[in-house]
Amino acid sequence: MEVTSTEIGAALAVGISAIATGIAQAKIGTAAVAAILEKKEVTGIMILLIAIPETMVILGFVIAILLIYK
Amino acid sequence: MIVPMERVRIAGSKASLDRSIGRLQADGSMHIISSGQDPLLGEAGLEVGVFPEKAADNLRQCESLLVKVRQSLAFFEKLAPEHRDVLSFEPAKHDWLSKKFHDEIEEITDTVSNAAERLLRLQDELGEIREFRAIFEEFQPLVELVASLRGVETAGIFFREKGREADEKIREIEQAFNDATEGANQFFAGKSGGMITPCLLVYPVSLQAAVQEKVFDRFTEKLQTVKVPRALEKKSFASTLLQIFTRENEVERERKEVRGKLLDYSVRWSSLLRTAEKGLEKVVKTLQVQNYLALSGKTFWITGWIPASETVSLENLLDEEFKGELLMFHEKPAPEEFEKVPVLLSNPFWAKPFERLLAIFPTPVYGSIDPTMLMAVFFPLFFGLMLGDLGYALMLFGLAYFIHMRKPGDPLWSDIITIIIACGLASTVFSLIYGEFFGKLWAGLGLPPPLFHRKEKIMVFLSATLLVGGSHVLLGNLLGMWNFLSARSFRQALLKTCDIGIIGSVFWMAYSAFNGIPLSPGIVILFVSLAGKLVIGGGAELLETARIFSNILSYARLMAIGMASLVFADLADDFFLSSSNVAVGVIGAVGIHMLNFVLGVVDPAIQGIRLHYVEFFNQFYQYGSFKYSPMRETKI
Repeated sequence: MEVTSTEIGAALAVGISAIATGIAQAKIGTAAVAAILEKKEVTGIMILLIAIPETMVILGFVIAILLIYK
Repeated sequence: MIVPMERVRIAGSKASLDRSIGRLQADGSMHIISSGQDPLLGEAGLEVGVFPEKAADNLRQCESLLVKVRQSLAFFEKLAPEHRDVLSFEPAKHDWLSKKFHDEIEEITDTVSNAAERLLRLQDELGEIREFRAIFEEFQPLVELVASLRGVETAGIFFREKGREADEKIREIEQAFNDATEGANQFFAGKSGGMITPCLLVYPVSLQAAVQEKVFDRFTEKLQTVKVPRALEKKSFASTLLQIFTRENEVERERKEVRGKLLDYSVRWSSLLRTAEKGLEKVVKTLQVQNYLALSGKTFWITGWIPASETVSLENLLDEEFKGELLMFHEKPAPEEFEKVPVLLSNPFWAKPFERLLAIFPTPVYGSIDPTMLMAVFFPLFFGLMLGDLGYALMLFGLAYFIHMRKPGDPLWSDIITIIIACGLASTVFSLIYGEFFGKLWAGLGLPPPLFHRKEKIMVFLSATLLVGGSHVLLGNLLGMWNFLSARSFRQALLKTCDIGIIGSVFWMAYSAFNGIPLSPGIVILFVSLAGKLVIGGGAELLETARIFSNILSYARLMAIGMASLVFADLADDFFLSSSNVAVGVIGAVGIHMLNFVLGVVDPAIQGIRLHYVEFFNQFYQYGSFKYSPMRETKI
């Protein structure tokens, strides 16, 4: 199967942004667990904070789609 | 909607103070604030926040007793939750401030606390003994022998490692031990059971200092000495071990005895203490109010907030009860004090449950916009747009029914059920548009072709979600402009107008690209808006324009999450279709669908809330007030 440079670009767009999201979520997640242990009421807002970096991978995904379906 | 509030001031003679507080507490509509926060009373030369000495003493006593009662109840709850409210108790017969009542309750809580403390000590001791025994049980015959010898010292050590790692450590320590005692020792290494390898060191007492220096001090980091139970700390190690082996039964018997006593106390007193807790809570609340009063020689003033709709009924109630002894004044809050006004939300039945989603965000400022109703519309819409599968929607209804059966009448769960049903309905509507039933099973069931196949028209789907996002952000900006106009912040309102112009121009240009309408009006609006931002807000404000586009782009997650869910559902169906074994195929497909359902419910919910909190609320939401919390009588 032949892989084009566009497809590689699309894969990189999703892959790199997913790694970045993972790194950000790992850091936020660690802090969130500590915060929740101290104050249980912040659970809801912490779950949301963990969801914030997902924007990166979603935008990466959009770029990948634009590359493939352009 | 944020309920309109009015400030209320009530004045009367000190003789009617207690009765007035009691009546206001029974009415339960007044959110009392400290008189010092009332600009009028603060400047009127009245004594503000002066706690009458007797009230302060009573409050201290009641608070201290309340803590003790709660500690005892917490212990009963932990010990035997089934013994709640076994005996009935007449709260009305008690004067919560009487010395007799306090002495009676204090005696009970002291008895419970002493027994609880004793039980905890015994449990600790038993735990230590058991750990000790588990480690050194195999050395018991040896310890008995060593204990009978004079001039011999024993020490117990253990390693958390096992196998080769433990063997290496043992060799190292044994060598150091031999050097310290010049061979005058016995070293016993036990079997490594579980994660622990025990060792017993026997050596002459005369060499204790050398062993301490060359073994224990040198290998502090590497070995763990045995923690001797506190009760036996001062005895020799060998006799400690022997005593431990015999004391276990004794401690266990004593523990059972104390536990039995506590269970008996729980049966006898839990109802009484529970009632006392409620009574004391009520007294504490009433006494705390006294700290909020403003006093002159013979009069008192209470100030607070009540919903404007209840002002007249409170006025009539006080007139009727006090026959003109109390005076009540009320007024609307001025815009500059909105941040100090407590906030009460009031929404129609269909939107009320969505207040729960707003509760994890700070309370909106009084006089600003309550976004609950908008959330009640957009949250299910976004959820449906992402999930959009009839099969999963039916599972959502099933989940709602399951919760309803398990938690009937629970207000929190009732609200959650309403939200689930709203999301299920939205998913059903979108499933009819997308034509999805557990992924591609829709076509297999012979249902009509979909109106819009999101997997095949992915670019159109992306554009549609961005259009939804743009509209949502545009609405947020319109609300923001309204907020600023209401607060007469015209500069901020103009900046919001420019943001609206920018979003509008982008819509125009996008529309013109597909429909051939002239592009120029869109370009003109865009440049005028950008110039407006630069002139009114400066360069920094112009740079902020990028945020509008990133906010709109963020709505692409509606498409991304939806596509992920669809691909997962298709994967489950493909797994079933490609499997040669029907049973394996069914189990695999059901498993993947279940996983997808969990992800498909959790992720759209989190992302839907996030889009509101981050992208939508940023445009208009003003927070900083606090919740309306009226002084109410606690029902016992």
